[in-house]
Amino acid sequence: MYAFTYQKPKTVAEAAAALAADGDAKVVSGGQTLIPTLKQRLAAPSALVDLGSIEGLAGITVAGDTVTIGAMTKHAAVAHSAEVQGAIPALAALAEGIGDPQVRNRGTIGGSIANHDPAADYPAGCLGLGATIVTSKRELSADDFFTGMFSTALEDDELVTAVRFPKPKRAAYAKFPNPASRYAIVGVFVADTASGIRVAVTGAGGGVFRATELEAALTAKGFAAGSLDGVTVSSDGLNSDIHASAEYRAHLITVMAKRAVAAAG
Amino acid sequence: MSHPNQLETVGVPVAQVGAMARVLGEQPYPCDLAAAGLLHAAVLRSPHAHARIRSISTELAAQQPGVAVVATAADLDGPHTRFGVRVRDQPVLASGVVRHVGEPVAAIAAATPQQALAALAFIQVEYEVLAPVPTIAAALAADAPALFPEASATSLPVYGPGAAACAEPSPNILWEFTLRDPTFDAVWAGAAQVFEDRYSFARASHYHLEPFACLARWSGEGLSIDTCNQDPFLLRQDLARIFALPEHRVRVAAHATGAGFGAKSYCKLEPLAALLARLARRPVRLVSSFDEEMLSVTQHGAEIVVRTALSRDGAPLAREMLIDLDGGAYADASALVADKAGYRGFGPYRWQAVACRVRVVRTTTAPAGSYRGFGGTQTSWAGERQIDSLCRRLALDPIAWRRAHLLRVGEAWWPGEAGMDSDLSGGLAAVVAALDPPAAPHAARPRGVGVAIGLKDGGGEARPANAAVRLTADGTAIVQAGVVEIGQGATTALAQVAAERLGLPLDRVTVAAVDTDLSPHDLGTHASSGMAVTAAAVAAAADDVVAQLRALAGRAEAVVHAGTVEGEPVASLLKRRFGPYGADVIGRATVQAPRSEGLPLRSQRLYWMPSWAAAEVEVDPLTGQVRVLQLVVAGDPGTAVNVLGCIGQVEGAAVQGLGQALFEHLRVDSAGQPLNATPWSYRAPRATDLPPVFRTLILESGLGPGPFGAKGIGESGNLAIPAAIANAIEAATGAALTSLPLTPEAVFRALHVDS
Repeated sequence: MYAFTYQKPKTVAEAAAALAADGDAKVVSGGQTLIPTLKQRLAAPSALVDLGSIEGLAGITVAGDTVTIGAMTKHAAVAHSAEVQGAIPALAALAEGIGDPQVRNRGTIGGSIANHDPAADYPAGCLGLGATIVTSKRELSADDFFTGMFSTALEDDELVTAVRFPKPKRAAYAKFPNPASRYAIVGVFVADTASGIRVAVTGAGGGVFRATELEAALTAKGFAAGSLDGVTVSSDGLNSDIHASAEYRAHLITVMAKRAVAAAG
Repeated sequence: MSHPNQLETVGVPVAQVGAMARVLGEQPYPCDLAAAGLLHAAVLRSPHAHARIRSISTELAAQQPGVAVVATAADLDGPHTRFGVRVRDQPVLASGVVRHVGEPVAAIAAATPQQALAALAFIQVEYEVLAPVPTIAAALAADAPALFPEASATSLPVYGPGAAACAEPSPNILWEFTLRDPTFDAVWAGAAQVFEDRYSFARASHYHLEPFACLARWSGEGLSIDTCNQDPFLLRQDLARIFALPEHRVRVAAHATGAGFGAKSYCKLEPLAALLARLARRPVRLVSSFDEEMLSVTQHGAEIVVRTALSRDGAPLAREMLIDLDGGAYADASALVADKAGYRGFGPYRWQAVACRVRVVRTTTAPAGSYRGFGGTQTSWAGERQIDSLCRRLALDPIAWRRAHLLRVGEAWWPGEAGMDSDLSGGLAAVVAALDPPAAPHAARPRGVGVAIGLKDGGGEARPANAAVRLTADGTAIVQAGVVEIGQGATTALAQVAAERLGLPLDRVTVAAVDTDLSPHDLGTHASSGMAVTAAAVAAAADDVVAQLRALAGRAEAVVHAGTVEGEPVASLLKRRFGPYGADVIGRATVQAPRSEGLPLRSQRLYWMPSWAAAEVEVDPLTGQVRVLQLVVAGDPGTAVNVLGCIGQVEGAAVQGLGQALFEHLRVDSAGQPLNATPWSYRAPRATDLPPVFRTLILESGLGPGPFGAKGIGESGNLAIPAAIANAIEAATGAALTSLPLTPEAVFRALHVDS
């Protein structure tokens, strides 16, 4: 690990100001990606801006058909929240499947989506449910927020403060985990929502994306696993690495989508 | 004292000596050691798989804060400074050429670890990148670059009839071993059916939690090293040669280690620490990171062709194994692994004739060395996979075939070789019987049961061992022997053996730390020899103490028990004979198994170390995901001196085998760059990977050569697991997998693409 300065702002505004003042500073939330990266000396930020002392960034509220989760809310809190389990059980189950207990008790939803690891679980939940990302500056739809591998629409001095999830009619997440990291080799989040059927895929490509051919099949033939029989996903542009080939990932997308649809009921 | 019921200490399950200290973090490891004026080392390692070093500039690094010394090959070069078993080809620091990513190129000793690490960035190395040789196939290609254009210093053992070996038959082949029964061709010619199959074995990481760590210091007396090496006396020889010292000027203190699985055998980082300490004239501690550890030594990957001849009724006739081991960049223990892989790799069946050719192929990857099973790991996979595969082709039941054709006790496949000393058929029946009844068939996820038998021998080749037992003036005892406590429980078991022979309770016997200045000589913690060889020396040394006590008491038949001699407390006897302070009574013994010149390796197997596994799996045909529902594994310790230790060894090894079977694989890309050689990206088994039903059986044959009928058991439990699981997959689905690991995609491809 290389040397860096450490800042612990008390407000979102202070944090944003610290980021604006130093282009080489990095935000640390739960640190589940950043700290190992620093340990491997793959990153050398000049400063770490720790969000841990900012009040009000963690917490879960359910109002009407909307579940709002603060950026600093840990995965374990979402997984064990009776309100989330009641409103969007698929989201609680997704959180319960992230990493291991240590990761779930340190990692945060804001950190996960701001990092946008192409194999992370939360981006699939956000995109699949059509969530709204609330930042220190504005509100963004998940479709606009995730822009590519490890990249988002966030500006350098912009922080995620909360995520608002609309309650779907039904939803489920099916993940084929990387056995080493528990990241998704392929994870598929399906949701039957007020604005239509959405299928979000993580792990397979350069970032989370919507599988439009699967959405079209489910919309045309109905929200049932059988509607995806014979529907294939192209392997073009999918990841091929030591964990799985692009062809196998393409196959798994349909398999996992069918399992998610079946689980959603 | 041959009947277990008469024993008081041997056979009584006890917690390992030192277990509590380890759990509480009180066990000191070499990485915890301090010394006055201690410097800390950091190693600059090659970023290239294969490159020529054009120049190294160390001036800037030497000027960095805290830096005491920077070492390069220029500080220590010459043929005598290279190390390796039988072929000495590995330099302490890369000399002219680097041959794998992670090879040490230069090293720094500084006042703090941070300063040493920071100064590495100021060493300037100019490389000319050469063509990588990342695989066995690449190394054997006609146009492959020669990794060692010049011959290395070699020492070939003498072989008996049937066996031969050659060092460096070509630049990219380190070693070739052949074995051929003179009747092989005739037996093969008489076969009714022959089968030839090719199997791949993926190399795994040893993944020992304690990294390589040592502390070197020089004085007027010579070199002293504290280390976690499991071969202190062999290391002493290497250090003496490298630094041109007589052996009595080299002291190696071998600490209890935080695991090794073979990685901590032979020379590792110790010469580099010694070099830095010599240059700096101060003590130097060198502790590798986990990442460095994974680039230092690995298991052997392998490509294995198995040719098997059967009679018309399916009985075994002959087997030939053509084995290519990926030895990586340097020799380490590869030549030994090759001989052992070939000699005992045929599987425990009633072959009428056997033959093999084993080649160690050099590649530009991390050196491969000793790994639990020592060649048996690779051959048990290939041989046992083919048994199931050929049974399926012949519509025979693989379990019934095995039980019909396994070696019986006393039988051998090579004339004059040691007969089987375990009940192989009984062991197979036991693991199958220990499975729960299979659950009702699952419509969408086929299930199947597979078995396999792992095989290696233990005890080495006519291996000598010394031991001493010192009875102190108060009648308690200290055992001195050269076996390193590597987590296998040697300390506990040796104490039990001595306690039993001395008639003392276990808490009155301790085992001394291993130190080459003080401990009796031993070849090292190898070949599962602790209970079969060193323990025999300990037992004999204890018997020597008893004989001396009887002589002191003046009665040849005196009863020695519970700290008394014929009823008189030992302390009283020793004071009566030696004065008011008493005296230690020191028993000594040397043991060595005899040579058998007529055999290919010129000695009989001291004992056989089979293991048995039965697995039930469930396969998801849509994803290829395999779930191991049940896993039963068994080993034979001859006599279990401490059955808790035996269970720990077999169970731990089985989990290692499970990782080997399902996911462990150190991978490199086409440029020879490691793809997952970090604990962050490499997958080792976790508690959550254990099958819902996971059982370990300890089957005591009583037929071991060690005291009380004991054998070694430490290297058996992993050998049968990969084949048992793959055989279960074939039973469930018909997919005949030939490569490890059995990843979901590999199983999926076998089910849908390759067929």
